[in-house]
Amino acid sequence: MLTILVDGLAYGMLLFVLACGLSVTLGVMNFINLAHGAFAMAGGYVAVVLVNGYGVPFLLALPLAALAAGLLGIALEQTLYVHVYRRTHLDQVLFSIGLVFIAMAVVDYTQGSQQQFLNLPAFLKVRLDLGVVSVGAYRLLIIVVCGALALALQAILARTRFGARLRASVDDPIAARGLGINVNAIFAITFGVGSALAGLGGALGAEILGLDPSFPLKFMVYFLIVVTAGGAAGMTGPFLAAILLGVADVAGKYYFPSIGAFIIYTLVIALLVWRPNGLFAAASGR
Amino acid sequence: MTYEGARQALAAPRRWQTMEFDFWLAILAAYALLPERSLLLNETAILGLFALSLDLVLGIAGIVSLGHAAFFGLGAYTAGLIGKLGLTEPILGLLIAGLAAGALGFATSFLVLRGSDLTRLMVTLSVSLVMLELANRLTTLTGGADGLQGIVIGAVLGTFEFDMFGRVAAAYSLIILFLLFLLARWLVNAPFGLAVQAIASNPLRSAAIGIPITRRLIAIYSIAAAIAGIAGALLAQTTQFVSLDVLAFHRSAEVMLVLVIGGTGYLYGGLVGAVLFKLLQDQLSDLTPQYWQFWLGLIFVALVVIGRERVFGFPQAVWRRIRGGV
Amino acid sequence: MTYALETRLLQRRFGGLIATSDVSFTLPVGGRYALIGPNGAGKTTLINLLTGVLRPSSGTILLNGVDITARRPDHRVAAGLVRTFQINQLFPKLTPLQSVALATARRMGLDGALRQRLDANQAVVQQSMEVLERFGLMDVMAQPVATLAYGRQRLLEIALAVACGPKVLLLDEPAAGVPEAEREGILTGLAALPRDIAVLMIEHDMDLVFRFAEHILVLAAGAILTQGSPAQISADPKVREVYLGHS
Repeated sequence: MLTILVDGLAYGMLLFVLACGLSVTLGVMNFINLAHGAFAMAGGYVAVVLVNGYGVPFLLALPLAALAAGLLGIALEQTLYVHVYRRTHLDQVLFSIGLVFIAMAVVDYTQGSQQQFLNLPAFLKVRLDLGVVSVGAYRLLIIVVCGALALALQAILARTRFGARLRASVDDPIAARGLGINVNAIFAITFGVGSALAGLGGALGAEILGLDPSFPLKFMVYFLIVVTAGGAAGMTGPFLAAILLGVADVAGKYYFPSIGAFIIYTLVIALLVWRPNGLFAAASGR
Repeated sequence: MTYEGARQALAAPRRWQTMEFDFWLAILAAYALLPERSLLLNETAILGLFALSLDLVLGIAGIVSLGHAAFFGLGAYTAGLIGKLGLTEPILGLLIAGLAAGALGFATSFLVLRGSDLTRLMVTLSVSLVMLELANRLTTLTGGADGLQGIVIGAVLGTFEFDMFGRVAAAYSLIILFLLFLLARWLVNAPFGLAVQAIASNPLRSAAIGIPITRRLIAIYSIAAAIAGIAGALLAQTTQFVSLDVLAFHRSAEVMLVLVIGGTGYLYGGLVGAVLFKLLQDQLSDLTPQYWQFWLGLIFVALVVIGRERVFGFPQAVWRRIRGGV
Repeated sequence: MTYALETRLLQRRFGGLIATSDVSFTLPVGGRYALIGPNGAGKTTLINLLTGVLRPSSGTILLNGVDITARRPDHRVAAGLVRTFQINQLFPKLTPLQSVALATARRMGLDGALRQRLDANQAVVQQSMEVLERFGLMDVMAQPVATLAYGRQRLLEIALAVACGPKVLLLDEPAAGVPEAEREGILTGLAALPRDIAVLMIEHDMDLVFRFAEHILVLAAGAILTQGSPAQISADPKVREVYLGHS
């Protein structure tokens, strides 16, 4: 029971790190980016190639994977995404699905279609006894790293000048522009950081998420759930949504293995019908 | 302008244009002159019908759907199952499959009506994923990952037995496509269709002039779902096989591309798109069969980055001139 | 006496904030009323309450003596309470004729029809033409709405509401965004409104208000501050204070 809770917690925090970039994309530019998972996949594969192929230590591979995904994100943002921000949602959907298909084909072509397994260092394979519950060191690492990132993100958003500008841009992009905030630059940076975080999440979670070319499609719904259920305002909503989703998914698959997947989709549908604007969205304007 | 002028202006959209006759004549000619491409023609007709149904949802009613395959797949499995269970009359099978998919459309329309484009995307996507998961799990019914086999389909109207060259199949699918196209055209040009287009164009004002938005959208969504179901049923009947592929995400994405290539909102878009898409697939698959997906993605991205209006603006302008010039 | 529109002690609270406070007024059949008030006076909330977008916290709304407080927005339209919008809300891809014909068809209960064709229905065509003619839109009736000049779109905004067969018409800033030179066109259009329609116009342009309205309601801080004829209102020191105090 507790083990499931801890596993769910690790999974949920991972989902948060993977998806938090998306919530900014959606919030600032009202852009539906279905290709967010491709950056996570990129990070995951970079880590696999580095660790398995070149023997780079796992903990060093993590920041490198994040860097690679972040650079890829900025490059694509500057060359392609900028053309699509003001388009209709249909165009955004077509465009980002296209990117997903390309990413899947490229990975399939270069890495093969089989699932990749990361060679975890020995110290991450042990189980630690914490008295009430025993936790795998790997999951503990995930919880610690993702928790630290969540706190850091919250602090950046709440305390720094950049965070204030970002929040202003999310709240009201038009007004923010009017105040002389360079929304485009803010967005490019956040897009890069969001991609980097996704890449880090992809690398960190490669073992529990399962890395293969269909990764971006498989997790598309999960990311979207985190973002829509959490609402685009702030980090707390998506964080709570991610944890809930993680625990629900792990518990569902454990207790009801035959219908585990239904639970999630049914929850999504019910949730969106119940609160179309997000689980934790302020009931404003009504 | 006079009363007669106003009457004619209102009647203009439903008047048949020469180009429309030419289009259907060209299809008839393709069937008559290219017997060796019957199988491809059959696939194209089915894809065209599927895209036509998406056009009712996306082009006419303005609902962005990422899970239209749910209805196509349900139709295919329904038609396959009743064929396997001994009800082999194909037309009856189509009707039942259409009803089943229409019922699913009706049930899920209430979910789709709420919220923004994003929530609609997610709900439609989730519905199709639930359907895929169901088909995957109910192996006794669907055959799961092995696919539904042993489907028996009788002769059309008790006379035309399906042959291995796909001659009967292509004729059957094309005739059904034509009939359902007529239905869609009739719907769209009725006051009902005008109301739905008004809702897509401006829901706020539609409500302010008293149009019951929810009821109209539920109706068009259910009808479109039924048509998608019939398209799926045609595939099941003419290939006598159904696999999980009919419910897969890429099918929903592909039909979106098909429709967008041909242009949304004028009903021929899905059909023109299906022809272009199948020709393209034929060419590119020969090149690199397993990486078709890459080219598909590239087309998606290029289309949007360059701008759909710019790529397809020219043919559509020609079409409008012909349509509006009378 | 039965009024075209009547509100009794209409109130709407948002949390602790009172947006509409005990608003009671009557609009007689065929009346030409205007509602003015500084920004933030609660004009938008009042419109939303009248059209049914918002539910009042308390109070009643009567349309021709019938209580419509609990009715849905589309039922209110069918009962004859129709609004226009401050920012054009049109159907850009349709033509003016199609737009007006659709509204006319809706009034006749034909907007969901399948076998009927609008062009074959003499009443629909005839009445659509009458409305278009009234607002001088005949020459552009077959062009897509998106291609019309702004002033013409503004008139279509009103025409579309008139085609719904209103008993009470709420005009939300009909002259918004219309350049000075084209205001006369709007006034001509307003003068062409059928006399049996009661009109409540919400407007900032005082010149337009004083030329159009026979009776003016002044809204301030969610409540009716005062009301009276244009002459009374323009002489009222309270009204001046509210306007000058806020501008």
